Amino acid sequence: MIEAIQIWLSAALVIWIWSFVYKDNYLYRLAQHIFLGAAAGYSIGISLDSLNKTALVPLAKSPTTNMHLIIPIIIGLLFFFKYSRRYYWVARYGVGIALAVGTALAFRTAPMANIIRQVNAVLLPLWTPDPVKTLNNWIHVVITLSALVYFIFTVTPRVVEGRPTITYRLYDAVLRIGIYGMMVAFGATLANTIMTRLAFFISMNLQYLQPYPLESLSAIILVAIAILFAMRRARAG
Amino acid sequence: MEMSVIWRRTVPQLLVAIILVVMTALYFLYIDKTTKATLNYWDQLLINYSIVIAALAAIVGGVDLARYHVALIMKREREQIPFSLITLFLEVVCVVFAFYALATGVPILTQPQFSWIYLNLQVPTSSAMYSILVFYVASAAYRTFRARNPPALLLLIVGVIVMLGNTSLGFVIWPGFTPLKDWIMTVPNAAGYRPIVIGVGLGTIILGLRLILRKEVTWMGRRD
Repeated sequence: MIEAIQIWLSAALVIWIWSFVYKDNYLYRLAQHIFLGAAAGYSIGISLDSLNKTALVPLAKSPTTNMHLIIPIIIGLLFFFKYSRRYYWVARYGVGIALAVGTALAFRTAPMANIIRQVNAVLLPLWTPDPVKTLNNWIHVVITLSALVYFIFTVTPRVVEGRPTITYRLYDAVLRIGIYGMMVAFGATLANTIMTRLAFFISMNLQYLQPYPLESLSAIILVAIAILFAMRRARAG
Repeated sequence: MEMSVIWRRTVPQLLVAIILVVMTALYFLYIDKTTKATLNYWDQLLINYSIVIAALAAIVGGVDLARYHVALIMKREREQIPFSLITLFLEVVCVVFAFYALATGVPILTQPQFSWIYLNLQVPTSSAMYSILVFYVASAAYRTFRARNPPALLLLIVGVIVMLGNTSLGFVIWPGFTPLKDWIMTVPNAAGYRPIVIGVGLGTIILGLRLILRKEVTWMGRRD
């Protein structure tokens, strides 16, 4: 019985959420609010678990050595001051520490991961015995440098008295190569995104709907009624 | 400067700047092995503190959602009340089972009722929410993949090649689609994205510097 309920519920929730593509209706809103409640409850549950494992259990096991764990608990509890009209600013201490640690983790690794390694990857030999490799390396270097030029906004050559200078023409040519290079990257990303989403959509169908045609059909009938009802209401104003 | 302003604005900003500087220094400083081990201990301690703070922040987020729906119910909007009640009910039920799991010492994800809600309500709905985007991506692709100018034409051609290269249909049409797609992904795609990755890195560094110099204040929310 329970299994039948969960199969029907999963299929129905999927169909009701998909029904939004056609029109907003009661069953979509029901599924949306179920999602909200379950997701919020789940995230609170996982957070409680994390809090328990990282702070409360060590604190209970050896209070003397782990007494310092009270500090982050108190700082975290300061978040609740945001509900106070008078002392809302106390919450800034908690927000500030969380923000500072998060930014510091990114800030200290960014120079190596995002800059030095990227520059290093472009330092390719431009003349190799293999002509294909040489061509690939040239394409790589030229597109990277040109696309970098696209992002330089501080110093850009301008057209003087309606006549473009040689510097401007050169800059314009490099800029175009950069744009075309990035267009290739965006095209590839968009294609991959479409493929991923489509694969996900198909997998949802295979997991929740196709094996259970009766459950799916009943959910479709219900949502069709909900959509008809929504349309009638919209027409009635 | 007023004392209250110092506690309200200056001290939190200084705290952020000090933590940023200290954590960056702890990462890059090297004196000797013993000192490095001590520095790593302090570094890990700060990261653990932030995990505890983030967990409490997520709980505050849940409380926020509950407050919002309670406020909607209090407004007595007839249409919204049942939906808000459902959200509140599910949230409370999850929290009750989470506390029950903690009290009994059961790992939270193996607590039967909590995991039932997760597997039968949260997973299908969140997956459906994610998969619904396929329709919007398809609509965006229809608008993007129109050859209005040469760069758009290039985008269209690359998109089609990559899609055909990813499917067995593409291989049936022309076996060269797969290696061509691989080449696009490894050479021009990697080169086209590299400046963006560099830009993200520079942006992160600039954000860090702005926080250290107390120029970035948007995180503090409302003005006093």
